[in-house]
Parts: sequence; structure tokens; C-alpha cells
Amino acid sequence: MKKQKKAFPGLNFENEENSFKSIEVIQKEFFRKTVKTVLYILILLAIYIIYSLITIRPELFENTFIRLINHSYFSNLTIEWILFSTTTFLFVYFLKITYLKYTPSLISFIKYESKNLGFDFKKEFNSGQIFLLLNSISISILIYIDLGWIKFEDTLGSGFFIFTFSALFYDKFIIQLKDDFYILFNFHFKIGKPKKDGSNLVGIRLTSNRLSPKNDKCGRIVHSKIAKRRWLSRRKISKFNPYLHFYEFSTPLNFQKQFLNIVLALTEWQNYYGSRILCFDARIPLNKIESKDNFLDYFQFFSNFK
Amino acid sequence: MSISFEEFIQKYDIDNFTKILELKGQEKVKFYNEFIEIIKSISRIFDKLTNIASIRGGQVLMSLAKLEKSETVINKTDIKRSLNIDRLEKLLHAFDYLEENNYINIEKKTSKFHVIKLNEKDNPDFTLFREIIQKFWISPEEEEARVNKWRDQK
Repeated sequence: MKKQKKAFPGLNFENEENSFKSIEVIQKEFFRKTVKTVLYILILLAIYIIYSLITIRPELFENTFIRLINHSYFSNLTIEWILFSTTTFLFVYFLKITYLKYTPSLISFIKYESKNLGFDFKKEFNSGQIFLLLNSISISILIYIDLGWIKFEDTLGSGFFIFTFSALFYDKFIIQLKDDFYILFNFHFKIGKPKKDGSNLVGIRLTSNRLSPKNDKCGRIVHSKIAKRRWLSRRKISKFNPYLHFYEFSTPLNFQKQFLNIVLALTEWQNYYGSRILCFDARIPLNKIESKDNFLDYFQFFSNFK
Repeated sequence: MSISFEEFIQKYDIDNFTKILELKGQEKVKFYNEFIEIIKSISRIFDKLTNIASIRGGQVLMSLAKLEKSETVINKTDIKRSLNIDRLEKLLHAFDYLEENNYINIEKKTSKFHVIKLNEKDNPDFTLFREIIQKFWISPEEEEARVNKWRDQK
């Protein structure tokens, strides 16, 4: 693939001063995005409260223009659903952005760096767009119900409305390497005021696709050997995750190097997982596997892989 | 004293697997001392690399050491390419720092063409450093080529 190189005017982490400025830019963007979401939530909550009052205690609005409108316009499923679903979506979205911490400039930076290596960094689906699509379908159904054109008594069918919230699980940033291999991105930085001591380090957590189930002994051996050799992060996302993944941590400065490290770990995984050379001892309990008599030198295997 | 990894291997025939390595008396002491000298030198290399103030300084040194194996004339752009860096400006501070600290020699042939060399004369540990890097280190350029080759395989 031909590289498209052009000067990137955004973030710069090449020296302390520029890093400090870049972190400031990222934090400002993050703050702006968060405030905007909170503002939308507050506006929607205010509408929600007013709407609830109109439907529950209409006498409070006796002297306003609202009493001129036919009350039946208000009490329908469509309005209730729009308010409920949008507020819930925004609230969970707010929690998600405070956890995922991605900002436009950081995304552009990673996009540029990965393009230099010949890879496409992309957002896998957009939760906002998917939510709009699913919610539009839900609203259309509800309008028909409100108009009495269809009757909705099937409780199983209500699952579709809950399905609308599945949009919240998207917004993943990935680089697809091959059909079965990809790298997932998570961003990390402190929200507080940027500090000169470097404690506001911007971090990028890289996670590979699922490799094998944790109870697969061969997978555990190959995973452990590759992770140790490449100094991959041994951080566990969750003890309950039944699958093995490779993890790597990088800063914007060493992003390329760390990214290549985890990708090369995947190339080794593809070559050695299931190979009889590394897995011939998989039947022996793991705590006894380190015995040199039963295990060939790891360096020998990987020195052949060039 | 600058110690060479290659000379050490050759001196004791370590890479000759048909011959038994048998060391006795003074010879064993000499072997041990030379081995310890290599480890000490590696420790000093760690110390030097971790104390380079310029962010990309260590990478530039490694790239230069690697390129000296295949190139006779190395310029700044060769190092930029080997490190997979998009702009030379990102490395300028490192070149200045390394030159100031006598880690590298820069010979200015023209205003734009500068030839760079590791300063092994003032830094004897760089002999071992160069040997290790040339033998075992994979540059970002090589890693990228390897990754792209793997990706293009069906």
C-alpha cells in the first residue's frame, strides 16, 4: 500500500513544551465535548420534568397556553419514548466518553501515525448514527400504535425497544490488520489541569482481538512466551474475560514502535499457535511446564522467524 | 579497554559446536573477566542511553549503529527513514544533543548533506553497542516491512 505522507499540523509530542501544549488541546476538547453532552442532558431532563408535570398535574398550567392544547396530544407513547430513550442514551454516552476519552485531535493524530505505517485507523460504527436509525424505527412503530393502526400486545416484541440501546456498545476505534486480526484502541489521560511534571501523560491502550480461550493450554503457553519476550503489558482487563488478548501501552511519542510490537506479536501468534513445537507439552499441568527438559529454548523458535 | 563481542566469540570458539569448550586455570579466569567486562560494558550502555536528554537521542544512536553495517556514508535522512519518522525536524534536537555530547561526529559536506558517524573513539563502549545492535536489533523500518509482508499474505 502506498503511503500518503503529509505534514500533520495538530498535536506534537516531540519536546516538553509542545507536549504540554498538545495535552492542553486534548483536555480542552474533552472538556468542551463533556460540557456539551451534560448541557443536552440537562435540557432534556428539564423537558422531561415539564412533560411529566403536564401529564400528571395539568392544573398547574391552568393559566398558560398549554391548557389550550388538547391533553390527548401529550399523553402518548411516542413522546414518552423519545424523551426516555434520548435522555438514557445521552446519560450513558456521557459515562462512556468520560471513560473512553477520545477527542478529535487525538483521533487525527493516531490516524496520521497509522497511515504512515500503511494502516487505516477507523471508528467501527458510530453510536449516535446507529441510535438515530434504531430509534427512528422505534418511533415509527410507536406512532402507529398511538394512532391505533397496529395493536402491540406481544411482550417479546418490546425487546426491539431495548435493542435500540445496543447502539451504546459501539464507538470502537480499531485498526483492521487482516480478516481475523485487529487492534482495538482506548485512550487515557488525566482530566485535571495540565502539569509540567509530565503526570498528565496521554496514554493509548492497544488490545488485540481474541486469541484463544483461557482454558486452552497451548494458547496460554504461546501467549505467555510471546508476551514475555516482547515486554507486552500483562494488565488484565477483567478476570472474568474468558479469552486471551495481547495488550500494549503507548504514548503518542512511541506509538508507532509499540503498535508494531503488538502487531509483530500477532504475527508470531499466527505462526506458533497450534504448532506442535510449542504446544507438545500442553497436556502437562502449566505449573510444571517450565522444566527445561521438556521444553525447547524459546529463542531458538523465534530466531527462525524472520 | 573496548571489548568486542565478535572477538570474544571467536577467541573461545563459542560458536563452534563440534568442539568442546574446556577452560582451565588462568584461561578460565581470563574468560570470566572478559565476560564480566562485556556485562559491565552493557550496563554502561544502558546508563548512557537512559541519560540521553533528547527524546529521540537513543533511537538515533541505535539507528546509526545499525546502518553502519550496510552503509559507508550515512546522512540524517537515512536515519529518519530507518526510524520511520515522518519529518526530519523531529530528530534535529537529538542530532544537536548527541553531537554536543560527543556521541556522534557530524561532517558537513555541504549545507544540506551531513555525514554522521558513531564516535567510538571517545566512547569505547560503542564498539560493543554497535555489534549488539547490528546483530540483534530490528529497526522500525524493518519491523514495518515485516508487518506489511505478513498483512499481505493470504
